[in-house]
Amino acid sequence: MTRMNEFDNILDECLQRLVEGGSIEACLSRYPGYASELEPLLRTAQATLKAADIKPRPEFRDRARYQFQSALREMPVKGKQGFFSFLKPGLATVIGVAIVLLAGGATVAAAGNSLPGEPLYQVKLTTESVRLALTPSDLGKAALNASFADERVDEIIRMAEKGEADYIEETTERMNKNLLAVANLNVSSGAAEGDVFFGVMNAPEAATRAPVATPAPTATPATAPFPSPTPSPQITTPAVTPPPAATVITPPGQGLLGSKDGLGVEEGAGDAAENLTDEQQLRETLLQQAEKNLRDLQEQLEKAPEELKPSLRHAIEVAARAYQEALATFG
Amino acid sequence: MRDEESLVRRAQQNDPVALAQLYEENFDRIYRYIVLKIGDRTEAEDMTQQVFLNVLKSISSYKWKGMPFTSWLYRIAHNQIVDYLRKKSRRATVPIDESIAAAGDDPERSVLGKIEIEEVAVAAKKLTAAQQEVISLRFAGELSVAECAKAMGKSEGAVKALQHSAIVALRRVLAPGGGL
Repeated sequence: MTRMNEFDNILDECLQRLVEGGSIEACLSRYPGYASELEPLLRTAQATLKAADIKPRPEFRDRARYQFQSALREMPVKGKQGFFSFLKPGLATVIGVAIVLLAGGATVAAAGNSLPGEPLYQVKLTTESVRLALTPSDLGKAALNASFADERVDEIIRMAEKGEADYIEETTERMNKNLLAVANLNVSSGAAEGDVFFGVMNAPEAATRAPVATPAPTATPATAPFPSPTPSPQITTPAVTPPPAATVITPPGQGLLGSKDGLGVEEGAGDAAENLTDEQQLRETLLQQAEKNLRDLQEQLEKAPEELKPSLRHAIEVAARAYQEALATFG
Repeated sequence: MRDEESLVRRAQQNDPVALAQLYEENFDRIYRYIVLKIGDRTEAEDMTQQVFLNVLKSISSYKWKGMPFTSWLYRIAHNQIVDYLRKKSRRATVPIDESIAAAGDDPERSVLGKIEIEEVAVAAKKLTAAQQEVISLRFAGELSVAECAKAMGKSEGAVKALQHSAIVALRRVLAPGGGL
């Protein structure tokens, strides 16, 4: 090794130490034979390192993050919905049903408690898709989507409690889709239809209504991994009339249109409840879910660590708007 | 490296979490790299934004060949800068270099030993293109010599030699009186 090569290596080692916060003096004492050559170069390097140690302006950081996030939302997720996409929808449904049946009740039950990122979560989503596919009426599908949105909120809260911010935004987006599917319900058509949906990952897309727009960004503290630069939410509990006193959420298995999601009116709950149409029952259920979920999310936000707050604020804002849209469908 | 490979593969499937992680890990470094190369923080903001939008557009075409993802990322930023400088050279602008370059003789600055990134950017223009690149990647991008070597398509030994000559040249421009 030539002396020049040796010096290059020593200089590089010292630079690396400076980058990592070491001192010039420590380097010089380590290589006293090169100290006179090293010192001026290390002083220039240190001044350059300090000069380069700049941070983007917070406003710029938020604006850029928002723009990136918006571009990200417009991108299709590859692969995730491709698992069954090569099959015709009807066949895909049959296979999906078979998988759910073969997986067995225990697996499906275990999956019901799973969270995004866990192995059984895909089973949970598949099960939901199969149930949607097997529900013939629009109203039944809407009721299921309402219950799935409820489940998404529960997942968001549980993930926040575990301190896992990664999947909160993804789950918020699923909740939004579930509620948009309710919002797109054709109220006048409760009749069975032959359409079949089987998306392993995606909840039914809103066919006619645009997704709830994410508001323009304002400054929020930088948090990992990807905070949502939304403004401080104005939590607006949907402005709708209070439910009749007789409305009671039913236990699973006795719900609306035979659904297992507790979306109906409990038997014997009173004349007023018995007189409600299926649509009114769904509306009342949605109203109760909206109030409870927004309250629970707000409570979670108040006790959440700072790094989780942007994601939770975003979830609250999306939930408030999406519930309002869904409730507006019923007039 | 395997973690990075897995992260990049997920990002190529448009996994928002993976893309967000790549963004957060590299955003500040890319911004600093661009500021040091062009010496204009406002322009650097727009360009940094554009770099990451370009990443979204082209990440599916990225081929994993054992090269760090950052090499590819800095190449996108580098191309963006080349485009910017090409367009800028076509426009007749008043050079801002003079006042900043004169700061090299400012006795107060020399005493404080403090310089601004814009001064370094101006001083770096007196360096060769390869020297500028190694200074930007090492000091603003905080890449290791091995990463710089891959990003620049050179051997590690060549990068170390370039780094040495770049600091010598930078010192000559920044501190003619030896104040630094």
